[in-house]
Amino acid sequence: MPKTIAVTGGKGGTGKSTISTLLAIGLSKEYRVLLVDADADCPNLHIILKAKRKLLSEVKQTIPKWDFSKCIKCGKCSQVCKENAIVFVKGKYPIFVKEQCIGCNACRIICPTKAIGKAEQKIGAIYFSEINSLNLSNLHLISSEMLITYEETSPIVNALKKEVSKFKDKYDFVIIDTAAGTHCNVISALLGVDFALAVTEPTPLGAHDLSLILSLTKKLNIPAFVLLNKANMAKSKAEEIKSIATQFNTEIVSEIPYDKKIFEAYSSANLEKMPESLYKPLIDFIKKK
Amino acid sequence: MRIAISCEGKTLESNVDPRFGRCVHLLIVEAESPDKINLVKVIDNPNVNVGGGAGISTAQLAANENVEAIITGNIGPRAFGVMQQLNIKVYRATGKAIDAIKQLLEGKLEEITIPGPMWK
Amino acid sequence: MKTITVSSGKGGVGKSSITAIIALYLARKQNKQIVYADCDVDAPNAHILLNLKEKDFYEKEEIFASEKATLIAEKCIHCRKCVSEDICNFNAISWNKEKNIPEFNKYLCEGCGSCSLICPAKAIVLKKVKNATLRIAKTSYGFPLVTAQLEIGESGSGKIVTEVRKRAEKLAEKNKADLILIDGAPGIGCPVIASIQGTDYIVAVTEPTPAALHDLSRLITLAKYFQAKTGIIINKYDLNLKMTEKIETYAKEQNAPLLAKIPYDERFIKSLVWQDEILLQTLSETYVPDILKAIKSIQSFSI
Repeated sequence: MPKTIAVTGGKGGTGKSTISTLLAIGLSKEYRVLLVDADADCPNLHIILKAKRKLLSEVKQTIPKWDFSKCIKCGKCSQVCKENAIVFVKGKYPIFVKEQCIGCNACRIICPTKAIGKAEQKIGAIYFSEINSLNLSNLHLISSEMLITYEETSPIVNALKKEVSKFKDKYDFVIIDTAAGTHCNVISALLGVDFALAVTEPTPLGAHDLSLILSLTKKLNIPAFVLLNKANMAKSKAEEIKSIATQFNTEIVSEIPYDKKIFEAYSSANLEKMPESLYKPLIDFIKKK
Repeated sequence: MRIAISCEGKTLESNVDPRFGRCVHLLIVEAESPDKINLVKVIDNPNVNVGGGAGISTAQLAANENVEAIITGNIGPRAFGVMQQLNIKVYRATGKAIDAIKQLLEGKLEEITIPGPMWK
Repeated sequence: MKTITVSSGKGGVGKSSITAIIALYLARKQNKQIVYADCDVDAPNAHILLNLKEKDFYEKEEIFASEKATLIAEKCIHCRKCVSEDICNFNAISWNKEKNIPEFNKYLCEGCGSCSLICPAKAIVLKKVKNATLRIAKTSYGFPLVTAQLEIGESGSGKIVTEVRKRAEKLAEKNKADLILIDGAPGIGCPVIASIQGTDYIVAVTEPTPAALHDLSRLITLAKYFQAKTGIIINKYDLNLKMTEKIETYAKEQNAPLLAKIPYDERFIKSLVWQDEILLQTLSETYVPDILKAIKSIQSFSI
């Protein structure tokens, strides 16, 4: 059974993707690591690692399919749809607006003549990558991606986690990079992990969002630890971060200074060339857990 | 020809509302010729303050008035998709509603033909 | 009255800071009436950037934009229809064998009503849940801020964004505002779609990294789908000139013109950490005029 760690943070741009990638790279020197990109809106890990993605599976969502020969044009399907995905005009067959559909069964259940069956629509995809550069043969990446113009990323993240559960026992560590924010797709990514690493920065915005993400992990009963990234950015705020961590019965387990070298490596997608000394304390902490 | 036109006011002298889904009013008009234009119904748009899907709800509202055409400023891709499936043409206009209707009858209005959704 | 949405795809590129200085400039230097809508309802930041205190908030409203399934236990006839196949597609219902009743997982429930429809005893009802608190504040810059905080653990961000926009529109009408300025959420999912639908202009903020460009391209695709005129701002452009060039080429290809290139400016962090309004003002006077000029001249969009 691998140790599953979610790297999250609430605030965008604190360095979640950078940290989860560095963590994965560092751990893969000794262990078998699966890095999981659960930011289905805007997956970035394959960009940061310059990894080629192979399609693993398409994420499909159930949608209704009308057998108009049975349809009596009663309009009930349109009435029960909470997402405005079915338009009913008197005297005409119902019109389906597929981008609004969330894939429930309400219309199928209510239809008095059982005229609605099931069909599928593709809403996203799951990809697998091996990292073939340098000494990263023990590191694999699995990422999710939602089709643009669709709204719900949660089903994509749930499908991603299902795929992960199929082969996670091949790995010692599973590291999940969540999206920014605190809404349903982050919740989907966090559920079931062993612990979460909340990445923050020493600014008022970082502090504010850290409280939010720690409230969320508390609600979901997930142990959480804090990583203070860009720690030397604003020393005055580091104290506030410390007190928020204490407030939530946790601690800052690692402080990584803002280093132009890290940004340059990240912005040219060369993170594997980063000196390990920068993030060694974090690796040690993870190994201890 | 029966037409629905999104309006800022309740008369044909008012301006075309540039928004369709959340337009303030939907005016239903019977127009035979530029001098035979009758306002038959004024609908206060219930979707002006609704959550997501306003465009689709207003599309349903307009379609249920048995119109052949819609005149508005802008229509979102999903509401437009509904109109396409119902074979209701959508035209773009600004300025006074009455002028827009006359222009439609004279074939001078631009028909909106938004391409389908773009996939990555 | 127009609406401008500031979006980015990638989080942390400076979207909120840039929205703040645009608002400041329009209000202070151009005397425009604006309404500021913070549509990053998961983790709203505008009130911090704009230096607001508790006393500045004058209105508070609870938002009940979602529904969740709940059981009326006395009515349950234990038929288990609700947990049978093809009823709940979200794994939100499980059967409690001891109590012999269904249990609903509120984190997974989408409020679709399928279980309520199938229940022969009408024992399952949909109850409205509070998913956010919406507040309105008067800033010291001469414009109001409409902001909302998602209840931790709840869903429905998109619906909450719509509520924020509705209130902002009401306020804009009342104040005869020229512009509603929307500070959008990161990503391209439902909260972002809710801030882009029906907007007049999108300002897409990015930074010179491969990840940000990738996310920008996804945002531009979404913007085109919603037919919104879009302009691009490259923030911290001097941190990687090669990437900046790449983004400029991309912007040209996409007909999403480059509005401005802002250098990495420490004063943004300083103004935030020290809550320095004068510094924020200086930043707005330094960078916003060129942005507005570009929007007007390149895309003939005037506020």
